[in-house]
Amino acid sequence: MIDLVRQISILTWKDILLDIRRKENFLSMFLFSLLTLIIFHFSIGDNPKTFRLIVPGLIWVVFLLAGILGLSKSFIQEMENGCIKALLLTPMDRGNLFLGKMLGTTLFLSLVQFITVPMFILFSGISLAHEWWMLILVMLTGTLGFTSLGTLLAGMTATLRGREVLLPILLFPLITPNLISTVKITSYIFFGGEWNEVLSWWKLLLAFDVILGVVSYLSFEFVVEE
Amino acid sequence: MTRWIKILEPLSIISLLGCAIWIFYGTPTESEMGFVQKIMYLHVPSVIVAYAAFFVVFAFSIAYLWKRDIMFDQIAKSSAEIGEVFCALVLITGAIWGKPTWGTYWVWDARLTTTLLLFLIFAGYFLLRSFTRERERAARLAAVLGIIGFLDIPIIHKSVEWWRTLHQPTTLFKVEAAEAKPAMPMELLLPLLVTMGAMLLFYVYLLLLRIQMEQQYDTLQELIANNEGG
Repeated sequence: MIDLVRQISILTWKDILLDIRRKENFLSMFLFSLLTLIIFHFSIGDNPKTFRLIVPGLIWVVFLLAGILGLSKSFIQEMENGCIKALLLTPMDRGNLFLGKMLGTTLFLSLVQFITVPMFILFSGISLAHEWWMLILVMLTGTLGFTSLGTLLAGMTATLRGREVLLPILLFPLITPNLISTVKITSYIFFGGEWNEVLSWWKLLLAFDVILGVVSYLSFEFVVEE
Repeated sequence: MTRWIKILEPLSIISLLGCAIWIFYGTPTESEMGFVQKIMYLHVPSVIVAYAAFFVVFAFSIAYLWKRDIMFDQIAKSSAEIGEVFCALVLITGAIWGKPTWGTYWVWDARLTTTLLLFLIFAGYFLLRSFTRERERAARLAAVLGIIGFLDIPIIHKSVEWWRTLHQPTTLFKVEAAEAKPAMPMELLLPLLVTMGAMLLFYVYLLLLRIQMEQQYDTLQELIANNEGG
């Protein structure tokens, strides 16, 4: 158990350290999100009232697009400097490798979200109908589901030709339940609604996280096999 | 296997032809929807075949990862191809049926949306295969995707179902009533069930044929590789 925690934390710390040292990763992700928001605002934001209504969806669409960049970056980096070979050579359970990579990406993407989401709220002039901690909770849970499935698929496509296009094509249809429930919950936090409805979305989001997380964890070893 | 293909070939084609004749001449025209309703005999069995085919992909993907026998992958791949074709057929016949009955080719209903996503997941499955050069790796990665894709389908269905029904009044589209009427009269139900059987027979025939082709292709590739190597 202690081994497990130690291995995972070392792996996660390695990724975080890399991100701290390569500041451009974070910066590019942040700028990408901000620019996408601006592009959306110019293309469909004529009426501030209608624009406000689509902000919950917009937040997660932008997150999906930025997240794809973050995921492929995390694995391509490993491939480029041959780090993945060294990682696979270590006497470590493949599942722990998966958890380490997943946590690293989750922390990184959450950080991006913690900065971009308040900005989205600020720019669109929304005042929250519910507590802000619920927003943090949904951001973390949504990101976790995204990264668990995403890490598996990124590991799958990292060495293939056409990985840039393959990752979103495989990820988008599979991630729909996660997307729908996070958007619904976010919209509840922004504009209010019925608690019972939101409760079922929470259950669905958690079910998605758990099922896809476990399956991804178990099948990761088949993906990185040499 | 060749023997089974030879038996199934005339059997499935004759039974499908027989069903077609029965559907057009032997079954009564449904009172509400009229002649269009006959597309149900193509639509519903296609759904069954598509889901059965994807279940076969799921089962043989697990079998492949477990036993690493390339034949399991050949079965999964062949079944996925047939499933994809039938899935497309479901979407097309659904649109043709939807226009006169609901007044529109497409509604974002739970079943339609799930089928579309299923189609797209397995479109990605083929793309993944074609982007992977090595045979063994293609089999391994596709197996993982086949398992995840199939397991994700119930969650996707649940989510799009709630997404539709929690916010939209369901009375707007009577989608549920059009497809699965619990009290379908016997003279409509019986031909439907028989067509389903014929369609499944046809699926098995196509599957065996496709597996045989796949095996021949793999053998050919091996021969070419050996020839080049030696």
